Amino acid sequence: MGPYATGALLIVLAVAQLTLAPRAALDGAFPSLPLLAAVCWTVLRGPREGLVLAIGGGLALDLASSAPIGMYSLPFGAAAVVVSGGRALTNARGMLLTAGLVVVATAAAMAVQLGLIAAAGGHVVFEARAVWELFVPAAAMNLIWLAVVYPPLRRLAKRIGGPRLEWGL
Amino acid sequence: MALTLFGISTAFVQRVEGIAPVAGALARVLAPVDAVLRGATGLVGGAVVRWQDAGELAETVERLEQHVAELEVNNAKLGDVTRENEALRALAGFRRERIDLDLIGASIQGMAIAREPGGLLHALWLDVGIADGVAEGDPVTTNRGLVGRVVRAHGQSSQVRLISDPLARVGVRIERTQSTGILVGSPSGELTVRYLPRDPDGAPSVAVGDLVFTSGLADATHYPQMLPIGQVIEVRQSDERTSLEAVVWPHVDFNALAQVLVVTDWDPIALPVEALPADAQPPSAPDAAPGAGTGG
Repeated sequence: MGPYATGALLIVLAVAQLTLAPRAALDGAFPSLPLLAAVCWTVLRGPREGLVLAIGGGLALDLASSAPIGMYSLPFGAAAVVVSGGRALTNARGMLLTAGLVVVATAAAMAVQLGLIAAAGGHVVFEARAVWELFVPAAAMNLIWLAVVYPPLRRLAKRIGGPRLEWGL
Repeated sequence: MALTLFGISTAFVQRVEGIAPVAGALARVLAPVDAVLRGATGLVGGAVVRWQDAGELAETVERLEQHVAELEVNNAKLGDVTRENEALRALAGFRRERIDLDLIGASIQGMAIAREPGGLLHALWLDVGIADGVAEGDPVTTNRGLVGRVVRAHGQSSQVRLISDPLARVGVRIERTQSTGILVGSPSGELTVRYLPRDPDGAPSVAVGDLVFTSGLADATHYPQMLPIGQVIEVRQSDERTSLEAVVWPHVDFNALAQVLVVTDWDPIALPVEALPADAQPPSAPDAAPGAGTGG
């Protein structure tokens, strides 16, 4: 995907995340559309384009966030790397694989973000109930919204053409 | 028509002499027919009337249903307006009570962006900014309690870090014991007061049910004093067992905020004389503590 198309997609994702996603909140949890798009794009188009989308989407959220820069781009980038590793383990390229990688990416991004919050002097308590209160709702919402994000991105990926041949990760 | 025929025939029979028996017989024949016709006419007429009434009733019902729907909509609007009015009145009352605070009314730009994109950080956007006198660092509150602090001020908008954010810090005081601590948020939104002293003077420094207010102390977490925050729902020992921690249930429902007030300035804190260092105590009662000043 070219830089202009990538930029346009990032803008759409960031705006949707700031305006649409909070309206879809269930019990305080709402989907992370840029992260979802990055995971889908990694599966559909390969690690490099997925990483660009992840870091770009994270930077867009960084600009709109009250937190220090990097609080979203770094976790999303880390999640894209993890997802790329998971993708390299199998030849499957379908919704099921993407769903599994979404859960992994949500966990990875959340773990890195919690680490960054702690590093920034934030109050983070690593307890088992935090997994239940934070991770489970976030992963569930991401899985639900995968059904919305994945089909148009797959169509877009098909329109663009086959994924670029790359070496593994 | 039957009645008319009957009447004419009766009149004719009465004028012709000698045919009274015939007239009587005719009357006996016509009377049942007339009765049947009367009944039929009544039935048909009644049915027509009922049909017309049913049509009118249907129209009336439809009209009334529309009216009820309109009234329900109006009622809902009225409820919203009433709630908004009550909230604004409460804010106005708060503004009158807290004459030490210079407050700017602000309405949150829709609750759709009430939280950070990831859900671990908690922030709000306000529709007031630098053009309205808002500056970074300004506390944001409602009449119910403290909301947070402006961390980024733009021309027409500003971003507020909620006190439930894990990066937020607020100097607080337990109302009952006057013990001070630092309120911190968390990714889950739980509020905890940390560094509360353990059993000063033999009495617990905090207990379940205690009210928590801003202390106005702590340079890095500078807020006006005596802004309500919430109520203690749990007390526990710190991990280091050197102090107590209190979990606080906030008075403000951060997911249901509609109107807030930005504190752009406030009067200095008036600390008791004994709280001041000896060399800082003025000859007469002090008006203000050193270091206390304006926000923003």
